[in-house]
Amino acid sequence: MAKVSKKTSNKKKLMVSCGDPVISEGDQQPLYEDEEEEQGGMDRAEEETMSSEEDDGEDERKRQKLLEAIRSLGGKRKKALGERSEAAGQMSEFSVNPDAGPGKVQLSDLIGSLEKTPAVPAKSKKQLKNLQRSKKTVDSPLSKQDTERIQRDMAFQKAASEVSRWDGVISQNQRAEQLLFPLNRDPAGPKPVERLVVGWKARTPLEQEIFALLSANKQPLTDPILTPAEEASVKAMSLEEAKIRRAELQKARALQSYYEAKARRERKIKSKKYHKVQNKTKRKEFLKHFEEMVKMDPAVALQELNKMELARMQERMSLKHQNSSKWAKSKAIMAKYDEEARKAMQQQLEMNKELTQRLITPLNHDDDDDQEDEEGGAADEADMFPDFVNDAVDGRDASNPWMKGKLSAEPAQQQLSDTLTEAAQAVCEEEECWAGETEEEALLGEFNSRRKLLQAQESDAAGVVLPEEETEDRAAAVESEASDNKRRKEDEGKSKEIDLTLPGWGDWGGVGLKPPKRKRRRFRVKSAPPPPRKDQHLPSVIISEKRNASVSLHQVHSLPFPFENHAQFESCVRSPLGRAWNTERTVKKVTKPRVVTQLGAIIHPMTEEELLKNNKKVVAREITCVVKELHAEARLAFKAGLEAGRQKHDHRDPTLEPGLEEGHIGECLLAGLGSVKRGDMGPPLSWVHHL
Amino acid sequence: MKVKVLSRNPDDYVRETKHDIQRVPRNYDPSLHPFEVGREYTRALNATKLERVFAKPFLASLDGHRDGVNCLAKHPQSLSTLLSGSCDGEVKVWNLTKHECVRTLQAHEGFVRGMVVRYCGTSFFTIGDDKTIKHWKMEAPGYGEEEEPLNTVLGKAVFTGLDHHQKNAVFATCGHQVDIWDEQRSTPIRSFTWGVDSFSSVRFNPVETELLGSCASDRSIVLYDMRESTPLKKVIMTMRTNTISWNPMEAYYFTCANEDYNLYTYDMRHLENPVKVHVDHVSAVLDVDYSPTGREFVSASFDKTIRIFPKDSASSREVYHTKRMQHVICVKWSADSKYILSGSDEMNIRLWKANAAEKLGVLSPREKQAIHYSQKLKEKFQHHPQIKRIARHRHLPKVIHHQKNELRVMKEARRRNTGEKNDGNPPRPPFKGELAIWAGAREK
Repeated sequence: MAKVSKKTSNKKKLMVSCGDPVISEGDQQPLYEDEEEEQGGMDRAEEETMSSEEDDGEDERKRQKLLEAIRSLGGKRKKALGERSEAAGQMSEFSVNPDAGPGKVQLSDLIGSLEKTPAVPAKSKKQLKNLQRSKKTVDSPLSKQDTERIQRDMAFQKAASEVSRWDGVISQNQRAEQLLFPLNRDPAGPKPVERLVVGWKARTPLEQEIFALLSANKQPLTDPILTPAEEASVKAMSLEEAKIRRAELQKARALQSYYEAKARRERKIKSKKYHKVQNKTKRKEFLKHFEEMVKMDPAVALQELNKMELARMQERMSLKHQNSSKWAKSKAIMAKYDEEARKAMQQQLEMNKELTQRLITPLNHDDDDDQEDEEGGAADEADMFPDFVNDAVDGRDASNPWMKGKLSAEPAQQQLSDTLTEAAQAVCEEEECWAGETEEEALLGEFNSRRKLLQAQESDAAGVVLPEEETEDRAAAVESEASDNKRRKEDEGKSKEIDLTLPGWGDWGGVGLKPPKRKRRRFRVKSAPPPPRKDQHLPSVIISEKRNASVSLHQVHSLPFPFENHAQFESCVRSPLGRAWNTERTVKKVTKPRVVTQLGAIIHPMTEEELLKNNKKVVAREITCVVKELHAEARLAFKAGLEAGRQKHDHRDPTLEPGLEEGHIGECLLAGLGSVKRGDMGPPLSWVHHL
Repeated sequence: MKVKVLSRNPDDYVRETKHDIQRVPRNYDPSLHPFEVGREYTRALNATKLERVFAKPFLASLDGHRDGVNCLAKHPQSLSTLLSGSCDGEVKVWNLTKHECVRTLQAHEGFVRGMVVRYCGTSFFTIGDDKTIKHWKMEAPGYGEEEEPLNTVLGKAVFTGLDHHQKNAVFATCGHQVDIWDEQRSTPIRSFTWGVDSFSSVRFNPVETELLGSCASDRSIVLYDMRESTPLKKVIMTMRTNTISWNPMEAYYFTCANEDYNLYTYDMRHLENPVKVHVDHVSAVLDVDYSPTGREFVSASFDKTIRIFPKDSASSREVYHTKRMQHVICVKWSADSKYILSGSDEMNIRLWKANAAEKLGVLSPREKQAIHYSQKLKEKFQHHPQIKRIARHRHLPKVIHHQKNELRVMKEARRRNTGEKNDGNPPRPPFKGELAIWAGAREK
């Protein structure tokens, strides 16, 4: 009952404060209150305003009363206006008393009036009825603090989970060997004009005119790679085709101009001599060509031959080169004194000879065969004999000692001697090649004897200084001494028994009394064995293991943090980084700085794009891992299949190879993540980048 | 006879063009390069010494303010621009390359409490003791024009902190409550309160741009989501937090500068315990700012020093101070991560190098390689006592030195009192840094 009354009071307060004309439905009440909690929960300022409004309401009432009193004072009575007042106005919280008096308002009263009003929708009426039927009371709403706390918790959890999506990026950056800042770098170097003058417009009349011209001629404003005209041509022909065609044309043009230039040059030359030479070479060329032509197409060759024959005939008929012309006669007079004149006459004659000469062609080869043989006999004499004729005669005679020497710089011989020196054991070969083994043997014998003599001398000298036995003794003494020393050192380090027995403790004491055996056994402690000596396996070597004060100043005394054992730390220190010990590439890799920033570049905070990038990376890595795994699996399955084929009794499921159970893919994934380019040296990265 | 001659292949020593690098024949035979550890140790030692020799971090001092510098603001688009607000309400815009002031404006009456440049870099906001938020153009007014703000909002109470959203036209202020403002409106679009108190600083998360953090004078740090109607979470610490700064590369980490001489790095998802406690200052820490790479942060303290901490190290790697620098009130790390700017009580703004021994300007490739090599050597041998001693050595003013020792003694005494008791119980686990003492930081 108390609950209900509280609710009503609440409701009244609410109605007063909000001035809501609708009598609130009972079923919506708890919900309403919640909302109020939410809204009012935020600030207490509102609460204050509420209380002040309540006061205002009271004041209002008082004012009304006062007004009425004043009105009643006046003589005339006005007709009272039918005022529509709200239920809330009359039912103030002060009129409801907690102990159920006669004026107590029941919820059912209010609901009863609700049912009669036609404006209330049927749905809410139905809901009301349902509520009436169920006897359960509605839970009291949570306190303001509690609701707020719950809301905060919810919001915090949401925010925390939202922030947690950065986990991957952050841990990856902590693990990364090198970080490059700014995160999305622009490529260095000048930017294209298009990007720089994006917002630029022609303003002055001159600029506009230029622009109009350019646009009329389809000229680009900026500097693109291809003008529109070029683009059109590119579209008409494929690039490859165009390139080839252009190259061909270029070549043809070049050749043409070259030939033209050459011809022009040659035409200009006035020298008779040059032309003579030129003609001669042409003729020679022609002759060379002619022989081929005979083979290739005899018809053309025959024509040419006829031409030549004609020329011969003409020459024979004319007196042109017969030294009978006026010029020739004059030259003949001068020939006696002038060398050149003589030469010129000679040339004339030669020309005549040449021209009148009969052509020997392969066409009539058969006829001239014998003749040629006769003529060329002398010339070909050399060819008749094979080369070996000229070779030095290998006329060694076993009986003649002078003939046993080597021929100087004879390749065959040299080879032989080489093999001899290389493989001295190949005696059989020697025997085959050389007739005089006896001499060799004699020489060898001499060497042997000499060597023996030398050895004997040496041994004699040694014998003088130290007899063999004596040296052995001394060595043994030194060795034994060293081993003694070493043994002593080793013994020093060995664990000793420490007697901790206290004579007389818990027993009788006195002179001549020994603690009992039991006690001695109990209180005799054996110290821990020292670590093995470094010179353990080195005979007669003692490595001092004393602590060196001057060195210890520079030594690390305790294991530094990221390292887990001494071996790790030592290996880290031992591996050098410098260029004297590593290749250039290794040095670069090893000395890579952790953080690289660009000079003068602003580093902006991380953005969501990083998250996307990272996701892509991770997905790619996962995919590669899975693919690798699948490959491995397939390989194994294939192997297993082969095995199964071999031994048919053993039917195993190839996919269930040992080490390929579930979770293996995950392991592989982890391994892939872990092995993201780990440095050659230094502690594992997971230690370094802890947080 | 076979004759062997020295034969040289010209390919081995002749360059194809004169721009090719000269070929240097190398022999990596280890017997030719003995004592590698010893030699590298010497190199590392020399590199460490040289680093100390070249450690000259102070670059310039910008003077011109007529009162203490109370706040600094970086320009998000221009490296050479810096804004500073002083305690007499004056705002100055600086050109850092020329070391000169390019613009001065009387923004407020009383302190300029906060200042932030809009993400586009064309305008900036200031708040002051006169209860106003003013929106200014970045460009100086033309000749004859008066210096006037674009917009002025008069608030109900004094604003103490200001920050702008990373990419929206929204900013946040704090005073007796945290307000989110739209640039176009004169009333906040959202207000957050959680208990009655005054806030000292509010910062947007630069990565998760809708999140905010603020610190209040009831020793609490409160987190908000701009989209929610309620705050998210609150931590109450043993002493008041002055400023917080979010890591620009790691969305959920932030560091707060506390009055108890320490800085605390928190993971916003687990506020029960700080991820790291950064000790070294000997007086209240007033400001903190992350390096844009998110790997280090710089803190300014009342003890007249600036310290640089690696984000996951408990102690600082560097301390900057000068004879004339007084209490450092604000500090910023430049956007290219190369410089640090500090504003202090004695009206000066100071420009420092972030790496004290770094050579500025363009480096030749060989220089770069040499620097990288020596850096790695220093890292490799950093645990060796001689090298560690030299690398760690920093000169400190006498006062700070004594204070540091005193603090150490106090800490030990406290540990003795609270920690080990000789009562026969098994010994407690060894002391694990500052966290054990300040365990009072609890979640609410």
